[in-house]
Amino acid sequence: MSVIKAVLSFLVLSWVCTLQAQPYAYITNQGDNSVSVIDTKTNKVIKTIKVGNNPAGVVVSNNSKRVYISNPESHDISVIDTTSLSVIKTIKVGGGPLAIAISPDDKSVYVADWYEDNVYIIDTKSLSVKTKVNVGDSPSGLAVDPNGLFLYVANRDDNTIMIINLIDNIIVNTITVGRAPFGITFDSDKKQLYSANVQSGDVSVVDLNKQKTIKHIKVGDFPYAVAVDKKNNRLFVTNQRSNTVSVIDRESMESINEIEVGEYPEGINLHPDKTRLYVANWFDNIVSVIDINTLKIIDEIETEDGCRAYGRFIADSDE
Amino acid sequence: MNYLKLCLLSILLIPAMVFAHGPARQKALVTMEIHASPEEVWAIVSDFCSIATWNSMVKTCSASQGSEKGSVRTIEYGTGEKVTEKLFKNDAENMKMLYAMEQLEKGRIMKDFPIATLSTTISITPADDGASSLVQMKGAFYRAFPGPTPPEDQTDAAAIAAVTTLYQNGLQGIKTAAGGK
Repeated sequence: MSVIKAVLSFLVLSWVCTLQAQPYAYITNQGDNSVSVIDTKTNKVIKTIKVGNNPAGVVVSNNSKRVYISNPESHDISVIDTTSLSVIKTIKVGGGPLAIAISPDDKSVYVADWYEDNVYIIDTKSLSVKTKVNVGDSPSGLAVDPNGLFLYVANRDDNTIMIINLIDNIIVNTITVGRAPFGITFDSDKKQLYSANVQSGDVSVVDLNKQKTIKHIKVGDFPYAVAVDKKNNRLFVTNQRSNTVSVIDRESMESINEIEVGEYPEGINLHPDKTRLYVANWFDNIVSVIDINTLKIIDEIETEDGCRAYGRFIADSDE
Repeated sequence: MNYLKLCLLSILLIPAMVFAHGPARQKALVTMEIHASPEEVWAIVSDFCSIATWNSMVKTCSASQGSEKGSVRTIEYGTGEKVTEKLFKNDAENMKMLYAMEQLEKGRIMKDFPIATLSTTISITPADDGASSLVQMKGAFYRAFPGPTPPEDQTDAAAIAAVTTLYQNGLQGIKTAAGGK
């Protein structure tokens, strides 16, 4: 009996290790009401999971066991179990859930509702809405600090980032950034936030010690989301209308290059192996894989219609 | 009591009505083969305000900086609705043009055209050894209706139909301008 147990736990352990080494990417397909699961070892879609209507946002839990998907049109969150790769629960949330993030301890999921101007907080144990916080106009981006003390909310139509204290869920500050901030990303080394500002075509750098915007970095047209590469000191930004990814030097905070990708690039994540980027091209239904040293596309993966992958879609990756 | 509840609910929903557009971006794609060389077709479309000559749904057009990147044109549709569109790309080498409608004022929904933030790509690729052209119009846009339950003539499907009609009309006009074949 104990031998069987030992063998079983060895198998589970080795399987978990494999999962950690080559995680899956979970790509929301907004036109197909589904999520494509990509094995990043082979860059092949291994399964397509049906979720709610027009899925957009995605976050993989820190322990890689669950994936939470926001469905703006069916007004709910699909909870995917990563072992069975199936939806285990659907949670009704607000009127237009879009951006989604998770606390470092995996206990809370945050959902921005851009119709209701609320952030909903979901308890991941009971899988139900715990509370909500009223924020600014059209909240569209979320980021959590690694200590789990603060939640950052980009309000697209207010041109601001709000800071919510997660101990008592109150707004402690509001910082002005560029026009129409969408995706925001936390940089834990530098204690900075980056917001991709759709209308002003730039990335705002918010210094969280000074609690203010210290720089606007010009990028392409309609920037959408930002990925941080701490090792090589770079930021990567998807530009929806330029069909490119801007490369920014994280020290000088200047744009240094632009990589041509597919049409309407949106979600962008650095793979945990820190050698490649995954970019979802919404119009083309293709995920591009970019080598971060050569800045060349090394693979293209076909998804279903309207891949967006807005959020942390690869387990273990820096947002 | 139920009626009262409904009234209360509709009051609560008012703040939601001011949002600029629907939640899910939509696509439209129309391709037409035109029996003219890519150069001839490009000569017709590359002038940013030529749209008034080849799209019968557009009545007038005036542009701030001609066909330069960044130029903003004001077009008037046959319905009398006016919008501004900005030129993001005018790439003669690859025969590709990208322009986008500037975001509509909050709450505005155009007559017979229930969309917001339309971006259009026109591209020309040679066919039949360069004797003919494949002309494609591609659009990315949101429905204008902001709430979760649009009326029938303002749904995503209605928005897709409106943009598809605009493109079909445009391509037909380009074909006519290029000799009609």
